[in-house]
Amino acid sequence: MTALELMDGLGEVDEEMLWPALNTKTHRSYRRALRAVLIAAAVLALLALAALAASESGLLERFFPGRYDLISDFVYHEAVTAENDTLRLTLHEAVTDGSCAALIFSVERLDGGSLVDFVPTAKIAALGEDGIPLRSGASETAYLPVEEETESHRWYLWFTYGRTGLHRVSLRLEGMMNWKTEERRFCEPLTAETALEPCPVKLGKRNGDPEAKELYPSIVLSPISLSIRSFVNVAGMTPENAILSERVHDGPSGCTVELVFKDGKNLDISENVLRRIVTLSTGEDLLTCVFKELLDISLVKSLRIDGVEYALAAGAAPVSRGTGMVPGGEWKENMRAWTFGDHTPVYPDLRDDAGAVGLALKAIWTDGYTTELLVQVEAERAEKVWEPVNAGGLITLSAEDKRGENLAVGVLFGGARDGLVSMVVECSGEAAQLTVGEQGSKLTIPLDMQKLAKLPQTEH
Amino acid sequence: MEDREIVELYWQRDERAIEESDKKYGGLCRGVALRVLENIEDSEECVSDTWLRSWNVIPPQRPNLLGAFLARITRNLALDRWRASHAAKRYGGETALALEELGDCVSGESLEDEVARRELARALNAFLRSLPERDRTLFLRRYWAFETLETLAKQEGMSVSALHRRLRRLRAALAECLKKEGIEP
Repeated sequence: MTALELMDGLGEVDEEMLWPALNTKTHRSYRRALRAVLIAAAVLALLALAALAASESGLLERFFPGRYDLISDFVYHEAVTAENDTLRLTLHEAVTDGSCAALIFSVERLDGGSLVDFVPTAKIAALGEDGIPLRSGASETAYLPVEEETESHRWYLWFTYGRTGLHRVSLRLEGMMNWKTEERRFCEPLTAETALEPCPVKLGKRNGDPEAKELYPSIVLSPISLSIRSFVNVAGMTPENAILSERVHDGPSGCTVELVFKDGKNLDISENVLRRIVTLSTGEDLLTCVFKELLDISLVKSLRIDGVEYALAAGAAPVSRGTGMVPGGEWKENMRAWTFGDHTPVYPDLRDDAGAVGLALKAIWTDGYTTELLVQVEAERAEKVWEPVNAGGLITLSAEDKRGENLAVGVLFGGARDGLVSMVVECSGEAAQLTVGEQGSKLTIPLDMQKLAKLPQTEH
Repeated sequence: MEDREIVELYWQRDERAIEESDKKYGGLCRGVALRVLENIEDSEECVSDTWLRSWNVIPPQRPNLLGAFLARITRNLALDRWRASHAAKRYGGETALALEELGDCVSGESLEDEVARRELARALNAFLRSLPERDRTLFLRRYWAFETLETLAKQEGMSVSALHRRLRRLRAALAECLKKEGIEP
């Protein structure tokens, strides 16, 4: 039997068994699915809000703190441009280590009209050496304020991780969407694609160590990330290995992963992790940890997983294991209609000025699960606020349930203009409150639907 | 409106049946379609096709659980569409991931005939009936409704890796069951 036949067979399940499972969250089914689609396109979100004075070249340098020279020779600088009658799409810079890639692109409106209220509807594919799209992994897209921007020319950052064999990126701009009205414009697609040379990596040496070979067929360390592939074969794995393998995926609470340096020092990997993802597939899992700061891999001797040391040696990034999946997805959904029709509740008095940065909530749309909010940020040194996330200057946004547990599964920071920042947070359950924070300031926003409905409403 | 009233509208060939179906189960069907197809426009078309199909099959059918009945039609239509477009590498996402996971349970050789397919449906029903309700719900929400691991994990209050392990055990149990039933070698 094939897996597809098994899936078809499941389509014949008795309705009496099916209905209780489907009915668990029926009323939110579409929204949750839509969120999953959106999150696939803009998962976990903001990577950079970097309103720094910088020239157009060297944009990626701001995204990768630390020893940028470790990867600078591998940054793609040749601008690739595509245009039609209305828009010009330019791929400016890109870099990869085979597991992760960062790409900066811009969209320019050729008639000089404004793109300020627009976000790109783009599908960006990570491709293998053979041009086949890589499956799995996560991607994030963010508006990137730069000095060169104008109202008709906007920059964006795309970042992907949790891949294997990434050697090309293909960017397809399907149009632009007004994030206020959700109107789609300029829907004639544009495509820009380029090959990338992965930066140097170190690979886990098998060393004839049967445990290393059986458990971790691939360990790849680069200045940008660490990837550990592990077998999780249902049928073939010994119980001991299954337990060890599962502990790897439980993260710091399940096992420890340490870098062992040539000078004898150790570093717990969790201290330098910006993003972490486990990609699940048949028979094996891939754990990818993206570093907060670029790592000089020449100083690293080995990797220690739960006390067991695995030697590392210089090598080349693995080649593609692509199976031809192109990520789908839409940028944004219509949230405002869910709860408040075309009206937006405003919190006129909700603000916090305790720290160096003032925060004030200007407007909010929410159904408790997905919330879009506009926050006014006031700071004497605005550039401090907008430093890249991995440089530690980011405004944080979290969502909590009634017990104070964090529910946020995805956060997207949209465009910032005149200190007004749009934010979207996706929650795994119904949130009781949101918290926006920056250094000493913390703004707590209660999500009480009845109270929200009574607040002053403005039409949009 | 109660299910039986909506079904009665279908039997009376009253077009409000579709309106009421959409009102009550449109969200559910769109969710199912969207998780399979990951494309809003295609999902909308799929849900429209669902209303057309339900209009054509009720009567003679008189479903007891209209929501499950309509969701099943949507799923089958969406999977047909997914299958057709999958060859062109248009879709991926949760359906492809779920399909890969189910690959654990099967040999990969096609079933021989309709009899074997009916036998499979019977064995799957028996297998699901044998599971505790929580496991059955998890299994169906992942492999019938294609909900993401992250969504399920959050709702179940467990980590993704713990859910992954749980689903892996369920797939292993299914593989065992299919072998025992003689459906898989």
